[in-house]
Amino acid sequence: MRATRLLAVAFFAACASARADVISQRPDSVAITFYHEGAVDTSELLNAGENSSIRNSGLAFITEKRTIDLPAGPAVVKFEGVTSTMVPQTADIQGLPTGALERNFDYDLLSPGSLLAKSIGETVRLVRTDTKSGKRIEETAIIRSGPDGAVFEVNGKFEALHCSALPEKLIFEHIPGGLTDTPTLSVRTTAPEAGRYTVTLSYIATGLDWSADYVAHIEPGSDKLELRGWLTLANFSDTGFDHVPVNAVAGELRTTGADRPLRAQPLVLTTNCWPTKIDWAKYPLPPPAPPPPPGPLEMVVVTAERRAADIQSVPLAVTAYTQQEIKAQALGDYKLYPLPEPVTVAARQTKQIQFVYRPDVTFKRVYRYSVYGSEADPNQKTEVVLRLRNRTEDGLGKPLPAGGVSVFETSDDGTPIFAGQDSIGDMAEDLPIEIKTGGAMDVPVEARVTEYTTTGSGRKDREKMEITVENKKAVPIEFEIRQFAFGSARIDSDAHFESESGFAIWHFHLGPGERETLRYAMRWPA
Amino acid sequence: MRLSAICIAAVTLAGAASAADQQQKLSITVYNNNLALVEDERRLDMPAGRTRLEFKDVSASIKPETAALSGAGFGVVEQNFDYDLLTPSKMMEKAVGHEIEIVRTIPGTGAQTREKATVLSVNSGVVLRVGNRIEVLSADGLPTQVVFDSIPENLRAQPTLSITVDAAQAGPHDVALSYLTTGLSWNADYVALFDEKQNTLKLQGWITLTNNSGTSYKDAKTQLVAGDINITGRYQNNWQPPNSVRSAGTQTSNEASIADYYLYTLPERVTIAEAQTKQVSFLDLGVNAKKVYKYRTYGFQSAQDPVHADVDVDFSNTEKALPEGVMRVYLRDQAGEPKFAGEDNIAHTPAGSELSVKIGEAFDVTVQPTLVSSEKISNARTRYAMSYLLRNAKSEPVTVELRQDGLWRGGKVETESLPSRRIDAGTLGWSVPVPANGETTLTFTVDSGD
Repeated sequence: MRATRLLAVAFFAACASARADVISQRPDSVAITFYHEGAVDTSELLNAGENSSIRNSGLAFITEKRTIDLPAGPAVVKFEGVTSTMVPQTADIQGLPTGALERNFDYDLLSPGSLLAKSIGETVRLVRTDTKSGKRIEETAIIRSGPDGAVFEVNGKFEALHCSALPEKLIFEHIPGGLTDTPTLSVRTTAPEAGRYTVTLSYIATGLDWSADYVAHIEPGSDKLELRGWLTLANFSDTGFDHVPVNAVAGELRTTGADRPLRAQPLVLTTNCWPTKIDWAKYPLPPPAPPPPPGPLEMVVVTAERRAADIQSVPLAVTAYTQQEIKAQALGDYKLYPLPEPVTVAARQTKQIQFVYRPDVTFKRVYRYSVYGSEADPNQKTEVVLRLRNRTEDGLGKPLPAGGVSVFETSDDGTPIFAGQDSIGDMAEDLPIEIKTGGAMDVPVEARVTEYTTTGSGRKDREKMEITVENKKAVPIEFEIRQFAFGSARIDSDAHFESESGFAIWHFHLGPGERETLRYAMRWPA
Repeated sequence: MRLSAICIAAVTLAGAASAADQQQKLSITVYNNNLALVEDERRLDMPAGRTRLEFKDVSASIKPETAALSGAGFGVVEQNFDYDLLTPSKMMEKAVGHEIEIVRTIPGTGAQTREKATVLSVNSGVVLRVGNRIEVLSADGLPTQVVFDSIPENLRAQPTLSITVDAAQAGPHDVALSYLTTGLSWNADYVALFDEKQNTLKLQGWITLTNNSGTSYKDAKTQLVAGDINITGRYQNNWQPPNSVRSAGTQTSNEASIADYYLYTLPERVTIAEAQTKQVSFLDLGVNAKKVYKYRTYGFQSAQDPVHADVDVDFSNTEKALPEGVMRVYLRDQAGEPKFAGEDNIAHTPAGSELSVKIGEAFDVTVQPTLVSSEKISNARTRYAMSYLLRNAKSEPVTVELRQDGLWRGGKVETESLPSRRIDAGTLGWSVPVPANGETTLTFTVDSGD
């Protein structure tokens, strides 16, 4: 491959004698800024195939510093070793002495098919080898047709390639211009004088994503929880980043869907021979399509995808700094988290770094029963809700980027038990946070409609509800009943209730074994 | 583009072809919607009378019915587009009834035998007459070469446009071939560096030209047309990206224009290679811009969770029309490095327009709506009492532009905690100041109207 590329470069240089080709093989340094697009789900990434559209998701901003030696006069600078998921139209190059006259992204891939297609009319050498004697016969041939089935001309006669079952191959003198082994970004520029320049290449790439993941630990009987937040970085592109500075940006960016990497499709070589393998058994009914001919080179299919590392070995790397927190900086109206030290983000890797550690966060555990319709839903369970306030007095007071929250409760024998999972949106400081962990077993609720009246036309206009709750737990609990009051519904209740976010909410404090019954009426005025 | 640019059919002067090449001049006009006009000027030697000219180097995605050859001193008799492509199996099919040569290689010795054969049929197998025997080709599985004397006349390596002309006199003629092709498209990509302290936007525009037409265009004079051109017989995508133009401008941009479209001409001839995305800078503009927090709601309802306010960048393109494309906004981080901050679509925008580009949502500025009460005034009218809690976790005060949609005929504000203004018949607007690390509650009662 190396030799081929050198050959290609030599050829380009020979063709374009007026301007010099400069190749920047790799960046001196790389910095990545990850943006949050969705929750990172490593199992989903593991199951996604090579060409899955998931590989187009995720967004990162990559900045590369490169050193290039420019000759005086016009030059074309080719950038090799860029991230394979680069979105080419977002590339920006700073630091060239006179700027970029034009930027090009070439993806006419060198493959057996394109080699043949671009050689139509060219003279090549045809080599046939006798399998018994090993004797090679070499002839000069002119290519007459391309990758849909090659026909060549030898001594004024015409033959087809790979239709005779003879070992035969074509030898090309050079690679036709414009073909490239991998999609390549280049700029055309002019330097007033020769010299060494440091340029900054920046671009958007996909296949990189991050999400926040929180883990809350609750000791038995405690009203404080320990909250750890993890930055989960996912790299599902083909490019690994070794020891690079990383930033993560929290907040919702608007995207248009235009940022997609260009997936170059190589030209496929087929033989399209006449039928050579006769299936006598099928006679006299001819099969609709001629079967493919024999021979090891009957069809050469080349794909541009590099084979990924063994999919089984995708690692989940966890870097723990037990007390570590990362302080958010402002980037406009987003939060930017600079990772404290350079990290390695390998291709097909999910990496986690702690960025929030709050050992004593005040929370309130509330048991909640909600009535959404005008009738009680027998499947409605009592939910367990943890309420936090994102403020310093409560042991928090940090911007919390959107992500999943996993809650663990330590059981009496000291083992942590997974108690449920919820997700939160971007939580600015001072906002209330609610984490639903699941259904409560020991707080049975019985809800029923005791009476209703209708208007003359049959419309329900008044309904009486009765909700009974019992605390079968060994500890006192805070209990809430919520009635969703949609439209112009009115609620009549002797017990005090609050209105919040469209709900009427009644609060109860229930000691162990205590029962409470709430009666209220809903009205829908005409 | 391949060097053997033109082949004149066998009867004509072969030498004329390469002489014509050097004078070839290409002009390409690219449209936004996967369409380009190619004009190809060259000097051709023609004999007097009828000649068939083959143009093998035109775009592989040519729309042949749009091809036209013009010039003085000759007339066009007919033009053909042949796309019966040369493959081995096609060659064999066309050889039915003709003689071919078969060369067999004996595996043990490597000795070769050559025989003439006539192809009788090609139907899931090739049946041959060799001398007075009837055989099936390769029935024994032995290596068998087939040698043809010629390529059938209508089979070609590439689809080929041919034009038969009738010249009055022999000699060089200047001709211009023009045609439409698909596979070429362009749009604009904008890089906008926003400085929220200085309230400026540094706007760079790039023309992004994509060539998937199957052919390269060498040293072409390139023009790009901005505007929506109607094309028949094609699926019309009527979906428009959400429009970022708040008020369309009335200024005339200083770009050249043709008919109702703007025309951008690249400063020098460029080579547009096959499978290439080419970007050329066309705009460098500094404008005043300001950041605006916006929250827009279309009805009267509660939300259980706070909703983040939108962050828009408002600016005007005073001098330059902006062709359709994607605007990517960058902000400088604390270290002064530009970082990507969001993007929005821009439609073809006349100069002097007011644009509002949404870049994302504010982490620290949230709005939580609560429908406090709703009561029926009459069958169609409802009185809504709304309360909006606006929170600001930033260390500086902000103003949120709140838009409440959902008023009908005769709808009006009854009470309000801050003065509103009517944006349009159905929309109310408030500019709500929210102190640093604080909150503001906006309350109002409206009669929805009918």
